[in-house]
Amino acid sequence: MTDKSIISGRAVILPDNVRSGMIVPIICRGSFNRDEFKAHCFDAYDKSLKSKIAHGDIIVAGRNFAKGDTGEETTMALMGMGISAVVAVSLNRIFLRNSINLGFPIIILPIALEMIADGDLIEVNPFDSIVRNRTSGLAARGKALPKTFLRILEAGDIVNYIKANFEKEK
Amino acid sequence: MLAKLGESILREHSDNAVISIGEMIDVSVDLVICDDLATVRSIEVFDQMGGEEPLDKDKILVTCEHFTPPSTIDGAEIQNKIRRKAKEWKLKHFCDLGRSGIGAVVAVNKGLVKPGMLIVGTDPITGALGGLGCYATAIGAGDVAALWRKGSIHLLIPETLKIALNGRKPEWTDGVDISLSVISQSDNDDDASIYEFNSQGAYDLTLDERLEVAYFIMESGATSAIIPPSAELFVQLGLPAEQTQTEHPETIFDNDVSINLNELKPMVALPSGENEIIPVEDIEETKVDLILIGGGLGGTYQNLIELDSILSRNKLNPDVRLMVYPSSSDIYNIAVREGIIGRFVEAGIMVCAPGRGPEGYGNHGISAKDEHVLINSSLNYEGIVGHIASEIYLAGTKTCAASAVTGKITSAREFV
Repeated sequence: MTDKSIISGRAVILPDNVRSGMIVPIICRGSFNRDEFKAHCFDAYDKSLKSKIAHGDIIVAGRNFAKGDTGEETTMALMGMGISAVVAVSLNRIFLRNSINLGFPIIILPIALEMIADGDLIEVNPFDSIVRNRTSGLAARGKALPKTFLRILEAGDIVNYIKANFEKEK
Repeated sequence: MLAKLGESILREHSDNAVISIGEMIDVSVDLVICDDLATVRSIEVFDQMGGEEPLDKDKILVTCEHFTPPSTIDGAEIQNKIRRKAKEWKLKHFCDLGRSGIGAVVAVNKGLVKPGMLIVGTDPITGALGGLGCYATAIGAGDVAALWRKGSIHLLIPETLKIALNGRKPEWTDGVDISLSVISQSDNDDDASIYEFNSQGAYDLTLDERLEVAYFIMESGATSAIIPPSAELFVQLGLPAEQTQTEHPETIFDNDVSINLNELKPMVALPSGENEIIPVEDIEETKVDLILIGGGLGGTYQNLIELDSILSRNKLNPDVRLMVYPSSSDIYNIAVREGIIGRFVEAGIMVCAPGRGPEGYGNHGISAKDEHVLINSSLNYEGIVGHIASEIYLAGTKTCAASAVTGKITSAREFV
């Protein structure tokens, strides 16, 4: 893959078990307005977190990130905040599907919290799952994403993937 | 050794003769269950994909279940948008308000479910249908749009964990207690496996218990939970009996988790949201302000009967508010005809519309700050039924019913 596959940003560390309900409060989800999701992002976890996140930051989370009942609003909220990718020790399967469908890069890296500290400058490549910590010099490869997921990311999102691959069949 | 049921259903729905764990394959589906909130998004994505009409329209079930009825303009607009689309596409299985309910339950009520099917849906409750011997799992709203467009969907072949249920559960326990026991004995991580049940204890579960057990297991992080069908289940579903795996209950499996139902205790999940599960007897004396029966699978016919059986013989505690949300209009109708709803109203129980209730993103019955809430319908993640700082406990219906009498979290042991 080319260099444009590499996303670099400042790491924002989150612990284990930051669940979907902490990312977007469940009560806000029945809305048409996507700004609502962003407006309440992390409210149920830590209200001060929003002010600490800058455009382009990468969330580095522990186990079970986005666990619990989740829809596209979880990913939309993170994208709305300007988060450029998520690296997590483990995460919700539906959150992963939704994120890939929306073209939002995810890396599953079991040693994420050992390798990365808050504020480190990191580089991630969802296509080979390699995470490089530019601050410490450490690098590691996360779990490989299924090929279909990579093809969707490569196309941009699920809309472009379907348009490119299934348009002619109709 | 018998083949793994989940894996064989996935293989049968693909073009692949052989499948391997960790592989992502394209599968056809027999039913896609779309809830109102996700469907509006699926429609938007489908439009962006340039879709005109979904493929396999008769395999689509759309339910109005989150806004029942709408109490916000957004809720009303969302339902109107899908109502118009359902009409335009002439969807056979669009269930409007008053004829709807929880997708998985409506699917059973409408006779759309048969063991061996591959079923996907936008809500985790879809996973309940694994309890009826289907491979049932949740996918995203964008995935549904892709499925409508190309007639298949990419699913991962996960590892299978085997769960044995042996013996017979005590009368004062129910499906939630089984689920919570399994969850507390397996890894807390989102492990994305198939949890496949076996042994006579699993085959003996009632239809509603099967739904409950499969749903909670999936909601806690499994990709799917599957309970092989018994001959009895085919009869209950109104289907001709078929040869089933359960005819060999003596088969020895290499089980990952084994539960002795004879010793099953009523369990409660604590408000931390971290699957902290303990026996009810360890927290008796915990005060309850609000009890919600339903909002998901909690309002099944069996759960309403269980609540009725305890509340018709005991008085509702004056300090407890008890709300009931039947899981579908069909169940509501039966409960009305059988006098159950009348008895509930007389007892001071508030009977609400079928559907998700407070789990429908701010609909009727939400909890206030610091209130102690006991629910029977979904995992008790923060804010699932209202204020983020309400203390939400999850327990089985019988425990909820006994607690409604005492005003404290109480095992139903003395009540059955």
